[in-house]
Amino acid sequence: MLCSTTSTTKSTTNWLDRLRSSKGFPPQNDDVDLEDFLNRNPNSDPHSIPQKTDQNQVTDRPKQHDPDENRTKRDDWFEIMSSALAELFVMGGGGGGGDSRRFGGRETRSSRKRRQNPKLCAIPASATASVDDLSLNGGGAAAAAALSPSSADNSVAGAKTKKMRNGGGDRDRFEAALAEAEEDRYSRVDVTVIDTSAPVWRSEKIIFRKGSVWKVRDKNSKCRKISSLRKKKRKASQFDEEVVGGRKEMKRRKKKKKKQKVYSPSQSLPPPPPRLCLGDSKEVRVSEGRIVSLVEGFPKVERKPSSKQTSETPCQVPTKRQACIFQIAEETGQAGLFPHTKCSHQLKSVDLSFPKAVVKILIEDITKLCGIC
Amino acid sequence: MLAKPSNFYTTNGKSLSIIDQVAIALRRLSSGESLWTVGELFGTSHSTVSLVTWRFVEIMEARGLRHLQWPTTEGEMTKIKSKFEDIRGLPNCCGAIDNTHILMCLPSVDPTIEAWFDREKNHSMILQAVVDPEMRFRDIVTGWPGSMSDALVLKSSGFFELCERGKRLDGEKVQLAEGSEVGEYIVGDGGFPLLPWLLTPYQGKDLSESKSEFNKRHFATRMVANRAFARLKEMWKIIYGVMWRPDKHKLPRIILVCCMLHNIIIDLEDEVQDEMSLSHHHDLNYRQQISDSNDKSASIMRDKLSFYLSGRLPA
Repeated sequence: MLCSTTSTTKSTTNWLDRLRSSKGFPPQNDDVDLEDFLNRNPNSDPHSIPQKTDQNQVTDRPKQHDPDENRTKRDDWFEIMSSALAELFVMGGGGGGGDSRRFGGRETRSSRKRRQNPKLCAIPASATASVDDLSLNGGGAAAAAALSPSSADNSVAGAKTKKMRNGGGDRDRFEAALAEAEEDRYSRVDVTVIDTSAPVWRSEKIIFRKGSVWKVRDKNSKCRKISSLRKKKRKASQFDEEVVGGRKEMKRRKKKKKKQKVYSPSQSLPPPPPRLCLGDSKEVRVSEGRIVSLVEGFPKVERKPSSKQTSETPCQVPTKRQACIFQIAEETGQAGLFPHTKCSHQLKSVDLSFPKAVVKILIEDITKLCGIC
Repeated sequence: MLAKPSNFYTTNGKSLSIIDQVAIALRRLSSGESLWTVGELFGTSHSTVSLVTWRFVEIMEARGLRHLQWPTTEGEMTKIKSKFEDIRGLPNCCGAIDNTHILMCLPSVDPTIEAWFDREKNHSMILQAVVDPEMRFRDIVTGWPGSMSDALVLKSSGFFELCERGKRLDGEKVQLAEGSEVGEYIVGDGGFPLLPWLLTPYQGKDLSESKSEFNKRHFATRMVANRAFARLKEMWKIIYGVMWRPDKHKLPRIILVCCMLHNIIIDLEDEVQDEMSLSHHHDLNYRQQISDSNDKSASIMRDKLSFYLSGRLPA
């Protein structure tokens, strides 16, 4: 982009015209020469970098002497134009593209300013956000955590700070942190469970286990993905509930927290439906071999059209059973492995111990259902 | 299986027909032999055996669920109750529940290995089933790690939820005597909690005559579940013994298909099952679990039944 602007005169004119018009200047102002500004006032930019000057280029360039009376005016023009250029280049995406730039016949090296191994620094964003949050909520601990170097030098810490910011007050943050720490102590196992009495026979679950305490959740819970903080808080309250021993206390807390969530101004994502939050997780707690409590809520998974509905033909049990699979093959007349000499020999030479009748009903069923034969 | 054109071939380049594919899958599931052995047997590669078997499992899972379901009609349930009563006189019994462990050999680097480590120091996956008097699986739950107790697996199941809600085992009650009736229930061993719809035997040593009589009849009735598991593992040897590093997400689906095939054989009254010996052992070296959870109304119901069975219930 930069090369094109310097190489073609036409495009430079258009580009300058556009700049000028966007900034409210009359186009093709002869008093203002861009290169002149750049060459003559490099030190007026407070963000300018000490530059290596190419001797040849400097000598090749025509010398220009600014009159003193025009200096102030040109300085103003230079500031305006340089800010406009900077804005344009950033918008054009070429700002961070290369280490060195050739601009107006001069080479500007930005690599000097850059680190060899840059690290993602989360301090500015999170710290400012936390400070803002402080002013709203009056919290101290979260801001201190956000400002601490240990929490600011990686992205995970930044994400956690963001989550905490969504939570609301200090107490919620503290509870969330406690719940998170609690969850860390659990070992997690992903399992695929088949349950023929469930609305969906096959489901993926997550088991959190710590000793004799088990917690089971549906893996595909949207609620968990969207708002992990919400579940963590709920989980913490469930632990509290067992200590307190009252369900009313738990419901009261849930309602209270729901209200807080609804009116949370800093919530970036839309809240998931409460049905999912309540129904998609089921927690079981076991202590010393006894089941202590099963927290309410059955899995409310969308009922898929069951295969029973699709399978329109009832089970046809044949009265006479076929002797062996080879007879079935002969009867149905399907060409395949058996007519081939080598394979047929191989098959006939071994004793196939699998149940014979199964083969026939399977073939019949599958062919009927698929409607091939 | 037929909807898609067959793209499986033998080592000779011949296309595998549907029958070939079904035969390969059944051989693999029933023998438990390695992919290479089955591949050599059918003149195909081990990868083809694996793909064909998995395709068979997927299709069975999608199409064959009607072979494994809870009785849908009242007539069917009446037959089941009648057959259970014929065993040792337990009235209104609808099924027998039990658990078995599918043993696995897991790599030591598996981070979740501890969860699969059961009480008998094996790595296993649990299969829980409710069985009818003909050893047909009527409800199964599988996929949970072996370290979970029988009671916890039950409590996490859809069957439990339906029964607790009164949507299952909610049929007609049977009158034992005047003012004394018993609802539908299933029987299970002492590892399960005593519930109004799940009767377990009396615990302890010095039991009264009526209680020990009840326990004897109870044991004989729930033995169908033991036999069903034993037959399942004997016939479908892929889940017999110790599986070598199975995919723990695929294994439950394989178990389900084996249970379906088990039921299909019973439906067909296949002679193969008559030739097989009746074994009661499906979980060798597994000790009986004990659950202390007793429901009061269930306890009263069990007492009524024990009095009824010993002929001491006042008319």
